[in-house]
This record gives sequence, structure tokens and C-alpha cells, in this order.
Amino acid sequence: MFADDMATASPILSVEALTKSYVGGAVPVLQDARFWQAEGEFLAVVGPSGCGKTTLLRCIAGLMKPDGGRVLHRGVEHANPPPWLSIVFQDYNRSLFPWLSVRRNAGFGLHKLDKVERERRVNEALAAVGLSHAAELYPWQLSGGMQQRTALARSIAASPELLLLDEPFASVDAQTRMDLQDLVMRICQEMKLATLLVTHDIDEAVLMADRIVVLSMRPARVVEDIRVPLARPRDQLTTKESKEFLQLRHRVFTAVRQEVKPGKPTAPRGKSDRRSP
Amino acid sequence: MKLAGVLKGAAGIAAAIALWEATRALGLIDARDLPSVLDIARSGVQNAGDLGRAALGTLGVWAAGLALATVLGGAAGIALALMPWLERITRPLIEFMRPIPSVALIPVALIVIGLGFRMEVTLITFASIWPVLFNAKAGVESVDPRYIETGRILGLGRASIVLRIVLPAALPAMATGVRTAAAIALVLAITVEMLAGQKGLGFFLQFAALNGQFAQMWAGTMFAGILGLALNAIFLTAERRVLVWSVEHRAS
Amino acid sequence: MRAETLQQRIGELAGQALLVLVLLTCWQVAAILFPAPHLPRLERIAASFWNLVHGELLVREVLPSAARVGAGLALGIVLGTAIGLAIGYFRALDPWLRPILEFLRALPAVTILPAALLLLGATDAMRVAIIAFGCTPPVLLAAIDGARRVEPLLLDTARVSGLTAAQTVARVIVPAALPQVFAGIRVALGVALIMMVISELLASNNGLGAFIQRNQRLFNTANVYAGVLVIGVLAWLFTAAMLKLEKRVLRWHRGWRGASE
Repeated sequence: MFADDMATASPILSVEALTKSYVGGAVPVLQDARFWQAEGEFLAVVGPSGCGKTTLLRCIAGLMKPDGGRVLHRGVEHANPPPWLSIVFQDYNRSLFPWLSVRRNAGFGLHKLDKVERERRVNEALAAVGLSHAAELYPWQLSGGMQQRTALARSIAASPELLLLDEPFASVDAQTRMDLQDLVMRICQEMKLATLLVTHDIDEAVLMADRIVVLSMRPARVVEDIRVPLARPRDQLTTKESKEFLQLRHRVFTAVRQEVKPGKPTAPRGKSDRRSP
Repeated sequence: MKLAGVLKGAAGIAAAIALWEATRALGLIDARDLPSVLDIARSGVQNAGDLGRAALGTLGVWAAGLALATVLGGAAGIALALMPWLERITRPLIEFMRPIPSVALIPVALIVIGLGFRMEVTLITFASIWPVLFNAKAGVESVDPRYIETGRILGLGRASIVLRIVLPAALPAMATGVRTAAAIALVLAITVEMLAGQKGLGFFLQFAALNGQFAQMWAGTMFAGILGLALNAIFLTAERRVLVWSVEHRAS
Repeated sequence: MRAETLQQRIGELAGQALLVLVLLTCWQVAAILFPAPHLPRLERIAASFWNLVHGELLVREVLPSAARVGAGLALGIVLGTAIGLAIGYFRALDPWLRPILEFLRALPAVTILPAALLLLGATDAMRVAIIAFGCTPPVLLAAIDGARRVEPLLLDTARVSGLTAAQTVARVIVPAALPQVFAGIRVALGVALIMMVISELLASNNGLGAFIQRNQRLFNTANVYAGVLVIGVLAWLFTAAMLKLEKRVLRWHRGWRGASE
């Protein structure tokens, strides 16, 4: 089922017939994936483990060239990642620069600006994520949650218009995860950021997103596109208890679970038993 | 894919040779001091016999010194690791001797022992012992305690545990130490030959240079490099074969 | 295996001191009872050492050696780091250059001495050149390794942040490769000292190597031992300085590695 169309003039992101495989075609990962994202929209991409979500994200971020199809950023195909795109990786302890302080990490992408402007943006970003007091610390002195917040600060300091998040909360404990989810939702609302969240956590997707795209097993296609009309601001407790939340959760869960049948091969032999309408 | 790599490597070598010839042609270095690669190769072939004999001379002392260093260094390293009190007491002594470059002891050896095979071997042993010692010590110290616990649970006595568990587990580290020591031993052997006129590659090089046989000298230098490569390759292959089970050598 | 209590510490120091004392006593006793050219009394060695570390001898013999090591090492570090980082960054270069690099690594640096002597004569330029020749391969290979091992996510971040290739090298690859490079520098330091001694033993009129050589020929053994001791001290000083520098520059590295385990 495709979502009812909100006929946006030019989506901020458009993924068209994306195809990608590894090892010269032997391992297909993405097969004709297609969806779009509107300006300011919070989109979640979910799917069974290992279905190619990260590959999809890397193609969108411009870090990887697809084998077929294309990725359009505001209607234009870019050779390199456009400057208004930012990304937060899952492994925060591998993506922060260990030799830079929190402040310097946050200011990393701002080398083109003059000093005053750079400082202002960094201070704003650090304040937004609640790390102003830790600005001079180094990554190894921070907890997991603080490290991820540093990565987040680095992304938003560049004033992006599209924020990509690759399973950003998978490596932190449950309590920290909830705090970070609230933080991201708040920041994206305030900055009116289009956000693309890749996650395997269905609760997280339903809680945070405006729309959820469900991927199949490898080679991944889009099998469902579900709108999440829950009211904002969303709350960890009350939203998750609401009837609508549970219904949506059920729907997404079922869609994902149908993709994970026992014995289903990861590399299909050309036949597909589900087609997108 | 592998073939492409080999071809590229060969191309790289060809480029280096071209650079050599260009340097000669442009007169950056006097053409007499820098013979053409062809001349060097020819000289190498012509003097193959002498080169071979020189290499054997060097390898003789090298092997003797390395063998001694392996046995003594290995034993010492293991002892130090198993008896921490010994390690503590001898630490200042070892830390004092360690930074002294062994080549500085050549004159000392000349005074104390005089010229000859014994002096060479003693020096080579002294220089090569350190990597073996430290690697053996580190190897024994980093043996996974679970192996030792397993031995204890199975009722093995202390000596048994050392011989059947600790030593084999420390072998990969020791092998690395011996490989390093082999390279050091070669340097020492050649240096002593140059300094004290002992027969071998070092002497061959000195002799050729003093007699103006520059092509021969360069041929000797190239040969020494190839010898170093060959020795390293032999050690690596041996390690891989014997220590196939170890983490470091498992095919990744 | 560190001493835990103060008592153990004192015991440890006592044991160490005792061992050293016993060895020195044996030496001295042997020197007195069995006088021989290769066994000078301790006080003579001490006197020679003292002479060597101050005054005219210090300037004429010790300082030139130290200066050559410093210059050769610096040259080797600069060359090795620059070329190594470049080769490590442009991965495509590796299969072309690999055989040559492996050859240079395996070539015993001492074998270049006759050639260097021939090309540059018995000059300081020659000595510094062969020290640099010996120092460059370990630093170069370490730099290649360091540049290759840079965490890919850091490079991804640089790409998404819009850094040019040059900026990426300067701001990401260099700092990330620094720990590896320092490991290579530590090896290079050992090689530098060896090459300094070799070049001075064989082809120099001044410097510690030449000093030892001269005195060996004249059988002034006390001077020979003293010279060796001074070389050891020099080695120790250089190493200590290197470690200090490494500690400061890589402060972040130690903490990071420790925390991520």
C-alpha cells in the first residue's frame, strides 16, 4: 500500500529504482528500492536485520554509488554529498575524532565559515544537545550517550536540511536511548529538519516518525509505506500507550515479520512473491 | 588479480631502474661512481662465485650467533617471565644494557677477545639476544590464564604446565623475536666484517670499494638486500607452516 | 608484577642495588688481582667517563655525534612520514611500490656505507645521509600502515562534511596515523644510533665512534669503555626525549584506546 499522496512540489529526497549488489553482482542487497521524502518530514526506514538498510543510507548520503537507479536531492543528482545533508552513524566511538575535544568535533564541518560564525554555531549546537558544560572534554572521557550527542551536535552545527541517522541509538542503554529519542525529536521539530532514521526498533520508528517505509529481506525493496498521524509533541509514556500507537505498531510489526519467514533465502532466485502495487 | 599486482610491482622496479639510469645520464652523479644497471648485473654474474663464498662466510657466523641468541635469549626470557623476583632484580641491569647499540661494542670485543670467529659470534649473539629475550618474556606473560587454569584443573604439575602449555602458547611471540633477531644478526655480521676485515659480505663490499670496482660493490649491495629479503621470507614461511594454529598466522 | 607495598618496593630496590654492587665489586677485584688491558679499574673508567662528558672532549666528540643523530633522524622522519602518508592514502600506489619498499626494508643499511663513502666522501653529509637512509624505511612503512588503518567512519565524516582531499589528509589522516608513525620513529631511533656509530667507526675523525676506534687501537681500554657508556647515555637521553614528546602529542590516543576496550 502506498501512502496517500501529499503531492509535494519537490521532495527533499527521492530514491528511484535503487539497485546495489556486492562482490560484482553475486550478493544483491538492494533491488529497485524507491520512495520519496518531503521537506521537513520525519521518515523512518525499518526492515529485518541485515536487509540492506545501511547500504541504502550510504547511497542516499552519497558515500556509495548505486549500481542502478538514482538518488535525487531536491530533484538534482549530486556527485558528492550535498552540503545541506548531515549524517549520524551508529558507532559513535568510531566516528568521533579522538584527538579533538567535543567543541572541536562539533565544529568539524564548519571550516568554510569565519571564526566568529563558527563559534556561534558550535555553541548553539552544544546547547541544543545539552553538552555546553562538557565542551572541552575529549571523546574518551564521555559516556556513550554523551558521545552520540556530540555526533549529533556535529551534524546540526552544519545547519543541515536533511539529517540522516543510521541506527543511532542501537549502541546505548535503554534509558539513554529514550533521552536521545526525545532530544532528536525536539531538535528536528525546532529546526524543521527533514530526518531519515534507519532503525530496526519498530517502537522507535512509530514513536518518532511521520512516515515509515518498510523494506523487505535482501535484496531489499520497499514493501510498505505507512503514515503515522500521531499528534506531536510525542511522549515516551502517553504516546506509547495510545490506541493509535498500538495499531500502527501492530501494522508495522506484521509487515516486517512477514519478511522474516524461517527458511526464506537471503539471495532470491529471481522470483518474487510480493509486488509493490 | 594477483597477476596484476605482480606486473605492477615489476613495473615499479622498472621505473626505479629507469630513474637510476636517468641519474647517470643527466650527470647528477658521476657515471663512474654509478655504474649502469647492466654493468652491475654483469658484475654480479661474473663474481657469483666470490659473492657466494662471501655470503656463506657471513651466513656461517650469522647462523651460529642467531642459534646461540635464540637458545640463551629464549631461556632467559622464559625464566624472567616465570620468576618475577628475578625480573625485578635484574631490571636495572637489563635496562642499562639494552639501549647500547651493539655495534659500539665491536671495539670492546676486539680488545677483549681479539680477531676471529669467536669474537664475531659473541658480538652477534649479544646483539641478537634482546629481541628474542623480550619477545619470549612477553609471550609467556601474555599466555591466556585460562589455558593455565585448564591445565591445573586437569591435574598437571607446574613443570608440566610450563612445558606443555606455556611454551607452545608463547611460541608465536618467540618466533617473531627470532625473525627480528635474524635481521639484526645480519647487520652485525656485515658490520664486523667491514670493520675487522673478517671474510664475508662486508669484507667483499669494502674490498671492492677500495679497489675501485664499483660495479662489483653495487652488485654486492644489491645482493645483500636480496639476501635480507630471502631470509625474512624463509622465516615467515617457516612460522606460518609450523604455527598454523596461532592467531597471528591464521589465514584471515 | 609491580611491587605492591612499600616494604616490597624497598626489598626490590635493595635486591637491585645488591646485584649491581656485587657485579661492580667482582669487576674491581678482578681488575686488581688480574690486571689486563681489557680489564681496567673502575676508577679509571670513571675518570675517562668524566673527561668525556664535559669540557673539550664533550664538544669535540660527543656533540657532533648527537648532532648527526638529530639531523639524520629528523630527515628520516620528515621523508618517511611525507612519502609514507602519501602512499598510504593513495592505495592504488601500493602494488607498484611494494617490491621496492620491501627491498629497502630488508637491505641492511650498513651495506650502503661503501657506496655513500664513494659518492659523498668522508664528510658529515655522508654520515647524516646514511643515518637518514637507515631511518626512513621504518618511519615510511609505519606511516603507510597508519594511513591505511584510519577508521573508515572518520573518512566518511570528512566526506560528508565536504572536505577536499588535501584537507582530509591534513586534518584526518595525519592525526589518525600519528600513533603508528611514532612507533616507527622509535624503531628509527635505534637505527639512527647504530648508523651513527658505524659511520664514525669506519669513516670519521671525530665523534664517539671515532673516539672509541682510536682508543681501541691504542689499547686505552678505559676510554673505550667510557665511550661505550656515553653512547648508552646518549641513547637513553634520545629515547627519553622521544617518549616525552610522544606522550604529549598522543595524550588523546592513550586515553581513547583505554576507554574503548
